Parts: sequence; structure tokens; C-alpha cells
Amino acid sequence: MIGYTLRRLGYGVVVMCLVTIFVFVIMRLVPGDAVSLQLQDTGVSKEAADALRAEFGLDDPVWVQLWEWLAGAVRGDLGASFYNKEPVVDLFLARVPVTVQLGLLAMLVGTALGLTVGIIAAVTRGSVTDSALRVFAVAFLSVPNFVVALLLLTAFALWFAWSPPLVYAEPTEDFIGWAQQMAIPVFALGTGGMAAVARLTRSSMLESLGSDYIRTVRAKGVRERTVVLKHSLRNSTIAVLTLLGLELATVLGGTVIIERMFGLPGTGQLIYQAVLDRDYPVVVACTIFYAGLFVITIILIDLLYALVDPRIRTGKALS
Amino acid sequence: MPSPPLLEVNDLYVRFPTPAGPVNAVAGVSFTVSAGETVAVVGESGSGKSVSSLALLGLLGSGNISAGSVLLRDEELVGAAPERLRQLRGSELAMIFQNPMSSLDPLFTIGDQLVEALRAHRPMARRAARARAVELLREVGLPDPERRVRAYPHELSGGQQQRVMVAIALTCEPALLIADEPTTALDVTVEAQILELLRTMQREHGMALLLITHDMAVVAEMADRVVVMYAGRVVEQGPVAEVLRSPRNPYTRALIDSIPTPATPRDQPMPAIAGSVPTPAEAPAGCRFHPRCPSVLDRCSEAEPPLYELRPGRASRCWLHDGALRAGPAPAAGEVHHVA
Amino acid sequence: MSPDAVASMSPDAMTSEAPLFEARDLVKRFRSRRSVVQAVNGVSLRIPRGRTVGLVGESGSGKSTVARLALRLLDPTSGQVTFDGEDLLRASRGRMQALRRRMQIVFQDPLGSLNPRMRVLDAVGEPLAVHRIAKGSARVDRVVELLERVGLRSGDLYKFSHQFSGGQAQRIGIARALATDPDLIVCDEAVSALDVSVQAQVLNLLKRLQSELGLSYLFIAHDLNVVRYMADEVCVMYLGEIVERGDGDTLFADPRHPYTEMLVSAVPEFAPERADGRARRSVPRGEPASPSSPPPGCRFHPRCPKAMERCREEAPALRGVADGRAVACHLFDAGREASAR
Repeated sequence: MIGYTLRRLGYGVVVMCLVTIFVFVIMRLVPGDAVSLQLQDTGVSKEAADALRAEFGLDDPVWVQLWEWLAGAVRGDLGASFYNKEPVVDLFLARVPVTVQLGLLAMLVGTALGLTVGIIAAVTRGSVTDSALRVFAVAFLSVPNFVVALLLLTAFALWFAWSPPLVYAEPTEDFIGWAQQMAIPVFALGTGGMAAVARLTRSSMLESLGSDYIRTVRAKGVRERTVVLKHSLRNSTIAVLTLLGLELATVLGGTVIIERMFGLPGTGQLIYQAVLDRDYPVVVACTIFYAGLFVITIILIDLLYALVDPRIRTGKALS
Repeated sequence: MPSPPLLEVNDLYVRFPTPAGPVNAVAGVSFTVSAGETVAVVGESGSGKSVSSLALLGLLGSGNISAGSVLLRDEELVGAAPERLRQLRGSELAMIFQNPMSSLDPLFTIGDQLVEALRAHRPMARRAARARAVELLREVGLPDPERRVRAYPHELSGGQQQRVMVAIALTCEPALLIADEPTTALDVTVEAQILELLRTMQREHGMALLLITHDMAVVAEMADRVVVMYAGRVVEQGPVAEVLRSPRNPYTRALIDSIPTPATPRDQPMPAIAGSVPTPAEAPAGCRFHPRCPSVLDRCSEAEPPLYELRPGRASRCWLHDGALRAGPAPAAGEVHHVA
Repeated sequence: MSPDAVASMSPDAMTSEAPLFEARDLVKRFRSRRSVVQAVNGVSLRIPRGRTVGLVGESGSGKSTVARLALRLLDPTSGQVTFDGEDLLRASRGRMQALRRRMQIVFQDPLGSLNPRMRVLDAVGEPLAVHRIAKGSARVDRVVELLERVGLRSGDLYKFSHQFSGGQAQRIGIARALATDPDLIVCDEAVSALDVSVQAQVLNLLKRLQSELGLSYLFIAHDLNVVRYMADEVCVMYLGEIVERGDGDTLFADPRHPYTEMLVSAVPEFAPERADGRARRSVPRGEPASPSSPPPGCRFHPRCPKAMERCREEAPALRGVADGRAVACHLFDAGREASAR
């Protein structure tokens, strides 16, 4: 088990390195750089611009830039923003909590709602409830999350004359304000995952409810509640866990737009602006953050598999 | 009748929805099981033998009982409240299945699954249930029960898993154990062990055994009485020794003849039944066996013969027995007729 | 006794001509990350022309692996396979392709081994196309002939496999195997999934085809009585080794190897004429060990009621004991030595 985890971690590190190098190089291939964008329309001379490029190291070949950046990175120095010259690490750490809150809550809400909807649909298979829930799930699966967010904003504004506050408040300072601001983004981000989880939960529960071991549990005279919530659900979570890794990718991708829409100062906003500005150090740092988050989640999911399924935990036969 | 039977199945119909409309997988099946007795229901695929047994416990997936009655100690189970059926399952009526590998929940230990069965019907402290689980595992002959109680199903062999299933079935001392092809998925040496275990447990716990099987040899070894089914119908029933030695129904006879035994001559063709076993949807009109029957008569394709009671406890569904009847209106299918 | 001597020693009635198929000392190990599974450990077989060799054994005995090795669907870890005098393991790819026409296999699950989207014409005719034997109307004619041979009708030509019952599907499987005019057919549990009433039909069909076409069979099944009925010589396998072989009648009536004895006594007694006098037979003990960790010495010794000290350390070789009989058991070494003195 430990060897398995370490191997997974090893793969994760390799993936992160590859992603970093890929983004590092790709960003520099995109036309235009930070200097030309900053200095356009200012009439600054070409010499001055070149001097600025030299200061940022942009005149070196890509592989030299990469090497210098890596040398800094291993010391914990991810460089400074090309704009305000602030260290990327500081810039970044200030924004991480918002994205983590948003992402985690969206995942939690999506998974919890998805499981609930999936269980209800599976248990009431073939009924009107089941059909309604399935239509509802497909609808959410096919509508992008920012559209859901817009619809919710409009609906609340129209019917309740309410809209979320525009300035972010720390939950520790103004919990109500924070909750008001986070509610719609969290829900909008969570819906896609919810729909996917609901569909998968429904189908794997149906498969499990028709299985031999469930027949045995029923033959023992166990209450149907236990049959569904203990045996069938637990067996279905194995499939759902796989989905959660993919859901995280959707949620993280979603934060970029949602954070901008709701004025949430998270890494999504940061990376959005940094890409437009060709602020390479910031983009690369954000990418590493997202890749790292992803790798850690996947390892966690693998560990959860082992926690749920003894066949993974104990390998093969002891008899 | 000395004592009323423990289980009395009367004219049972089990219907399944199919795209082509509802199909009766079991059509008018009647049999009884007395306390402590072993009754075998034997048949080939599509005979409805497993469906009947699952229907008794209310464990059918998509099908349902459309007519008939199932009495357990004079209590009607058809139409009984689901909660009542749940109370009976595992306490009065226990069941084991064909495939032990897939019949245990892979995510829970053997001990957990036994404890769950113990606590489903009576309040019991977790600790006491745990101790009882170890005892039960020892009783069914699982080696090293103290350790195995913490094992997961995949850590056991098929034979050991089936022993665990038997232990689960025994938790509440059921009056009737239904064993649905309990050894079909097992190797012969393990099959012999499980059959022996079932015999021992039956003797020690005084329970009745309803054995569902396709294997006449298992019937011969285990059962007191046998019910032979074909395409959803009972075609013959009676004491095992009599039915096997002198089958009265042409299907039973042909089936027995087509089983290879150590005495089958190698230089001659095996006696075989022509054609194939019909699925419930394609069961022919008239006698369901008539297209394959070596003794077929004209009337066999026109009307289905009733189950003739040849003498108390012995019955066969075949027009051949009609010769012994006085002239009279043709009896309706499903009724029992006495042969003079 | 050297392995070669063991392999060459076979039932005398069957050695009169060169066998169609011969395997010597087949060994097959499968490696997984954690363990090595010894699926087959030194199996030798010879199948004379027009004859049937039966393999019986429980799950894990390696009988299906032997089937795959025989057809070179798997390559052995070591050993030799000859077909009609030709070394299969040294055959070139092209030569192997030509030889494959002459060796076919019929599987257990008739419906599962037919492509559900293929019509009977294509399922049965596929080997004809693969081996470029016939096409167009010649192919249709040949398929019709094959269908009639196995007891199906030309009207079935354009049906799909799901329109057939298990027994009919197995007939299609047999017709497909016959398409290339093979000399050897491996039947791997070919009747195990069938209903009893249908099983007898398929057994009869296989026997009839054998006498009509002079086929040789390697007939693998777990049902002793089925193998006894089909085979001229029966080999009993346990954990990858042949423990006893001989004529089916005498083998099962008078088993020598303790495992054969256990196997025979484990089969539920079905003799209608004796159905009331139920024999209380001895119940076998234990379960087979895992092929990834076979016990040392004789692989059967942990379950053997007659195990001796020697069985724990030394694996017994397969030796001839009587006409056409060979047993791998130390009990018979002792007997031989005693009688020789």
C-alpha cells in the first residue's frame, strides 16, 4: 500500500514537471509578450523595450529561461510578476484560499446533491420521479456553469430583488456576507458535477441492486434502507470516486470564469489576467498549482478506493 | 395426512414483462414441503425452477406472482406485506445461491455479513453476535474461524464462500432452507463437501431443504421427493427412488436416459432428446414437451394434459395416463385427476 | 526414469502408428507482478489419428492451458509440440497459418464465442475466407454442407446467433470448426454449458463426425462421465500435472491414484436402479492449492489420505503400472520395487 502510494506520488511529480515545462514553452510561443503589451501606445523606443526584455530575461533562448526559472523554483523562488514586480509566491498565496474554498465547496455540494439525486432515482426506477430527476440531470449536464450562474443571478434579481455583494469578505470577518457571495458561484460550479454524479450513481446503484450479493442481503431479511444505503451505495461509490477526479478538472476550469463574474479574488482571476498580459511567471505558477491540486486529488482518490474496496487493499487470497 | 406441510405452493404463476408482452415463466406449479424433509425441484434451463424459489421469498427482480398461493405454516405469503416477507426471510426461510463468489458483498468482512444477518431479526449486542458468528463458521467447517471472521470474501475459495453462505442461512435456525443450485459453480470434490455439509446441517437443525438443481445425480443423493419441471410446468413428482427408477412421464424418462453414467456403453450413441429446451416465451401449445416427445399422440398438440395423480404422492402430466381414466370430458389443465 | 522414457511410454495399443499430435514435457508458467503461476508442469500427451484423448480435472488443474498450448495459441515455457510429425514450436508464421487449418477449437460458451452481429453464413464461412479456401457461391455451398452435417438447415444461413438455443449455437461452433477440414479438434468444455438433454445430442454429433471424418479430439471437461463416454484414453490432471492416465472404463472403475479415487468418489452417485440404496461415500478433504504456490513433493500430498513421508519431498514420476495405465504416485513405486525384489 505504501509502495503503491509512493509510486503514485512519483508519477504525480513527473506529470507536474511535464506540465510546467509545456506551459513555460507554449506561453513563449504565443505572439506578443509582456513588454510589447505594457509599452504599446506609449511611444517608448525599441531600445528601452529591449532593455526591459533583458531585465525580465526575455531575450535569452527559451531553454536558458527555463533553466534559470527552474534553478529559482527549487529554491522556492517562482520569480516576480512582470507588472507590479511583486513576488509571484506572495501574489499567489493571497488568492489561493478563495479558489480552494470555492472549489471544495462546489465539489462537496455537487457530490452530495448528486449522490442524493442518484439514490432517489435508482430506488424509484421507472417512476415519474426517476424520469424527472434524469431530465433535470441531463439539463444541468448540458448547460455550462456560467450560464447557470447567469440564470441564477437573473432569477434572484427578478423575483427577490436580491443580488450577491460585489466585494469579497473573508468568512472569518463577515460570514453572512461571505456566504451570500459564495452561494451562487458554488452552486453554479457544482451543478455539472452533480448531474454527472447523479447519473453515474443511478446506473451503478441499479447494477448493484440487481446483483447477487444484494439478493443475499435481502434474503437475510435486512431492511431495504440498509440494503440501499449500506450495501448498494457503498459498492456504487467505487465508480463515483473515479468521476470525482474528472469533476475536479471541470470545477477548476469553471473557477476562471466564475471568479471573474462574481468578483472573487481567487487564482482563477489571477491566471485569466496573467494570460492576457503574458505575465509568464504568474501563469506558470498558477499552472503548477492547478496541476498539483489535480495530482493530489487523484492520489487521494486512489487511497479512497483502497479504503472502500478491500480487494485493492489486501491483494489476493490468503487461503 | 399426518401433519400439515410446512410449505404449500398451490397453482403458482410467475409472470415476467418482456418486450413482446408478459410471459409466464412458471405456470400453475404446486408442491409441498414437510418439516425436516428434502424436496428437490429439478429441471433444465427455462423450466422455472429457480424463478419459483425466488418468488417464494419475494426476491424476484422484475417478475411477479400473478396467481396462486404460497402457504408457510398456513400463512399466506402471496400478497403479504413486504415487511412481513422481510421478517420471514432469513428467519423462517433462508436461501443459498449458485454462485458463492458473487453472492457475498465484496466490501464487508465475513463477520460483518454474519453479524448483520444475526441482528436483522433479533436484538443482539454486537459482541455477542460476533462470538456467535465465529461459532457458526466453526459449525460449517470453515478452518480457523477466529481469523476468517475478519476475512473478506475474495480471500476465501469458492467452497469456503459457500460454507459462509450456509452459515449465514443458519443464523436464525430457519424452518426451510432453499438451496438454488448450491454446487453448480463448484468443483466435484468441493461439491461433495458442500452436499455433505447440507445433509449434516439439515440433520442437526431439523430444517426442511428445498433443493433446486439441474443435476439428477444430486437429486438422487440428497432428496426424499422430487418435482420435475419442464417449461414452467410440473411434469412429474413423487418419491426420488421411484421417480428415478421408474419414471412415468416421457420427459423424465428421456432426461434420465440422456445422463451419461459410468455404465453408458461407449460404442453406442447416447439416448438424446431431439430439439431444444423452449424458453418460456416460445412454449408450444398443448403439452409443452410434445414436439420433443418420443411417445407423442395426436391430442398432445391440441390440449395440455392435466397432472394425473397416479397414486397418493405420485403424479405425472401426460395423456398416456388417460387410458386408465374412464371416458369423460377432457379435464382442464392444472387440475389434478385421480387415476382409478 | 528419464522424462523421455516416460513420454515415450504410452498405451501400447496406441503406439502402432505415429500419432497425429504429440506434446512432450509441456511447461507453462505465467508471471504476474507478485507471483509465478505454474499452470502446466511437465505434461506429455499423444493423440493417435481418429482417436480421442480426454482431459479431466478441477479448476486450476491446467487443462484449458494445455488446450491452448496444443494449438499454439500460447507458447510453452518449455517442451515440444508436434503435429503430424512437424515441430509446431519451430514452424514459421506462414507454415503455422497452414497448420492452423488442420487444428480447430470448440469453446464452452457457444453464444459468447459467436459474434452476435454475424450471420451464420459469415460465422461459419469466416475460416473459409481467412484461409482463402472458398468464396462467393462456393463458400455458400460449403457452409450449407457444413450446416447439414451438424444437423442444422440451410434455412438457418442468414440468422444471427441469438436466434439459436445453446445447443444449436454449439452446432454452429462445431460447423465453424469443421470448415477448414481439420484433423484435430480441441473441445474445451464444449458441452459443459448445455442442458443435459441437449448435451447428449452434441456428444452424439461429435462421435458421428469423428467416425465420418476420421477426426482426432482432445476432449476437455470436468464431468468424468462425459469424458469417459467420449475418450479412448483419459488423463486426470491435478495442479498442472497428469497424475493418472488410461482407458476410461478401467480408470474410473478401478482408480489407482488417490486423487482419481477422490474424484471418482466425489461424483454424485447416479444409478437409477440403485437410487434407494444410497451409498455413504467418503467425503473428499481439502481444496486444491493455488497453482502459484504448489506444495513441494507430490502436489497432491496435503489432501492425500495415503500420503507418506516421501510424498512431502519427492515428486513422483508418471510410470506405467498395467496395460495402458500410468500413475504418478509413490505408492506404485513401492509396489514395483517390492515385486521386483
